[in-house]
Amino acid sequence: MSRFVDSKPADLMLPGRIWVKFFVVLLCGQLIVGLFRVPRTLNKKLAEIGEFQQLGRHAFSFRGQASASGAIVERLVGSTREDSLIYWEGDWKGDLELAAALLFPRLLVRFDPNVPGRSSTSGRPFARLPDPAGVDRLVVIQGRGKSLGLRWK
Amino acid sequence: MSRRHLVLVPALVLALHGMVGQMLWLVGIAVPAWVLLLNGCIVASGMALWSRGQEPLDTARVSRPLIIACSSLVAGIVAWSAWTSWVTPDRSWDGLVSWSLRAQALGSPADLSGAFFSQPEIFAHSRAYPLLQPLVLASLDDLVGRQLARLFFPVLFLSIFFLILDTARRRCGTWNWSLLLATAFAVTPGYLDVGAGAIDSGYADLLLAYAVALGAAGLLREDSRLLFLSCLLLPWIKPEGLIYATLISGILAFGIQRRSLRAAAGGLGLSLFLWLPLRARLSFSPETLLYFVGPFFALLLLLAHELLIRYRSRRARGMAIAMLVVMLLAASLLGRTWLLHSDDPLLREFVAHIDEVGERFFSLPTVLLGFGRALLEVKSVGLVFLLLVPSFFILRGHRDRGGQQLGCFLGISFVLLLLAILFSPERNLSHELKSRLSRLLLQIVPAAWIFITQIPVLIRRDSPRDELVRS
Repeated sequence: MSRFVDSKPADLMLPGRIWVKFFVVLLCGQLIVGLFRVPRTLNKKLAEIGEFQQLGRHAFSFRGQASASGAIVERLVGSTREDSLIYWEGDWKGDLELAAALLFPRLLVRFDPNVPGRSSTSGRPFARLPDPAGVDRLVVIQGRGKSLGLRWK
Repeated sequence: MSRRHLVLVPALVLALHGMVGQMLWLVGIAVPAWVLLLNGCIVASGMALWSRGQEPLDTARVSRPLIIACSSLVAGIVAWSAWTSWVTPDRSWDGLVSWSLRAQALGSPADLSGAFFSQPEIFAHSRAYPLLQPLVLASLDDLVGRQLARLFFPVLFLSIFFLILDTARRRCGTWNWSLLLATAFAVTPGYLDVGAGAIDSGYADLLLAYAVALGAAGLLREDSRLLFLSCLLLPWIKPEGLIYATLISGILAFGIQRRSLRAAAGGLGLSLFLWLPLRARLSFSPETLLYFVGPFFALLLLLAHELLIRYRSRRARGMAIAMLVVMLLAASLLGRTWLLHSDDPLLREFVAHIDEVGERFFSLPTVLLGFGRALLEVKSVGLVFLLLVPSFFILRGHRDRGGQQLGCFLGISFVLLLLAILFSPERNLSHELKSRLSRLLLQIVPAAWIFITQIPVLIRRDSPRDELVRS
């Protein structure tokens, strides 16, 4: 009771019941909207999971991006040691962020042209891949925003 | 165990694990997974002892069809989210590239001495981000495996549901209304949808929403335990957590509840005491002085509160707010040069972008329009923010200190979210408004539901106006 004693006399003129009705209608609306949206979200999620299982982790993560990015990551995962380091250069935002996560436990190290190339650091070897001519060389992954590239050093 | 304690268990386990984990890291020791188990056992046994002889769960006065309908719906949602979390690894961008990656990088036992965290030449764009969620995921990964560890997210969602249910039960007095409100929260489409902000997305936004909800319930109920836990956890979850914790403490500094402020400032001080030096270490910056920042900040809040209590005039409050703004501006200008040389690329980019702030004001109408649209985006946040409108009018003239504090928190949060979008380093504003804003709003959806729990008790009395007339 006492909590209403503080109410201002002007409140007596407020259309309180309208707001109460509005509140009840909106609350019912929230429950109805939620109940109607649940099946739709379930379908969307089922489709997403189906796509993930069909495409595989790498291709799924790069869906909507350049399809070559998924293939590059897949190639690096398939042909480099798990404890290896991979040189990177270019833009870190975009596909390179995804690549870093998908390549883990391989780690990315920024390629600095002024520093002489190393073949290993802290006991971890730098990743090598056969270049287009078939020669095994240090590989550099290039971040190009919404795509990735490979370069040999 | 009473209902009250069930609500506290997840928060206490998270707080204890975060505290022990960060203390061990600061002294250079890895965190074995069994520490999580031990913390869980300590909290559970402590709670069992504490709640002995207290009021048990009382479900006698609840409509049976309603309880069956609501609990089956919520159980279905949680079971579905558990399955979608378990069936595949992370499917969403940040879940994969930041949160889950760092949980994997922590390894077993969770350690910061690995190359990922300790060598600046290794690419890790969010290396200095808070580590509570990665730590919990890494510990769970070690205990039950990576896929089962992802069940952490539906459990978190269930914890928010119980927190809203408990708060509603205290405010409404009836189980029927409480169940309806908590279920209305549980069917919020954004949590069930695909992508950012969803339960199974792996983002830390759900954990942040839980900690914000703890703070909101603490403000409304003037519960110092909830306020302490919230302000302790928030800075450990996401960078914006620090802003929410400061906001909660700031609001309490302007109030008259000394006990609540002590709890919030104590939580925030302890949180920063552990996190800031660790963050400096992860950014390869000097850490010694940062040990003092948290306790100093907490003391500053308590001092400000004492001054405001002593000089309660409107002018004194205005001066206090002006001083706060000047201090924040000075800190951001003075800290800029230092931050520009930070090893954290995200922070560097944000600070470098401060020069363009003036230009961004021209985008204000676009941002305001987009913000309004996002608040009413039914397929993401449902009708919760629209529900705040009648709630505001029903509560007008009804002076409840807790409710006013929470209302203030929600109002300022909206302004902060608006500013976050307006001054975001991202140049594509429409992308920010479309994808990021709905995720940010989902962080405060549980807090908004907690605000709404004040309404049913007024409706049940027909209306406050009628009650006044009768009295």
